Amino acid sequence: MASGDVTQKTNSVVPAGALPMGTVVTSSGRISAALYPGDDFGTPPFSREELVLLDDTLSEASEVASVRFSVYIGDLGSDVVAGAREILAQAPEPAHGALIAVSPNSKDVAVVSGALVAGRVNDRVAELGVSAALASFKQGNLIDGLVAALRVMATAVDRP
Amino acid sequence: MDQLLVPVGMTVVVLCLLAVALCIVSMAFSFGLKRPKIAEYTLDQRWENGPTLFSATEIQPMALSRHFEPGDTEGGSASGKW
Repeated sequence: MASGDVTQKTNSVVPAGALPMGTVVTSSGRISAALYPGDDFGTPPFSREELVLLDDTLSEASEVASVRFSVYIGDLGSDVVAGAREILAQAPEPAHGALIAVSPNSKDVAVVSGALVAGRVNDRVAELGVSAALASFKQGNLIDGLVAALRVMATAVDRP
Repeated sequence: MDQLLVPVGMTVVVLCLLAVALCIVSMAFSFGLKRPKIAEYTLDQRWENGPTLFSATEIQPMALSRHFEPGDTEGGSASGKW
């Protein structure tokens, strides 16, 4: 292949034929989709301020603690810790990461961490995160609970 | 050359007018349509959305990238219920 040629990956996660009309996989692998009149943007069901707060807190906590924090909202199955570990494996840098997983329908919350930060994000730090989250969840505040858990864990974790 | 001016020019003009007309028609059909407002979720509701994963992306990687290993997620853990 000559230098500068653009090629399309053939092992894409989504086959090109399986995409809905108006959708295309770009040369970089990104999926670009047309938005029809009347369609919503498909953003998570939170206010703009809540999403910005969560995004900022994830960035700050990750940089302060040198741990790649992630947040998951969705079903976790019967074993919430095992379910959270499966989700952590799909998050960026799982070995250096920590995940706060919330299952709103079963009212479960779990915190798990990766193997290479296990000494710093240990069970005690994970319990602090769960406690901080539960305090807000009991008052009905999902994003506040997630932000509190992230801040508490980022503060409690030992620096590398 | 002069003989081609009118056929080519008229074709271009007709195609342009057709494109403008199609734009106007599509705008007429979509006029007044608003994006549906996304209902904000609160914990007293049932979570009907798909699984959602948030992670900071505009930060430096914690370490050099490497392949995933099965034991990578075996760290600390805690869980609770509200």
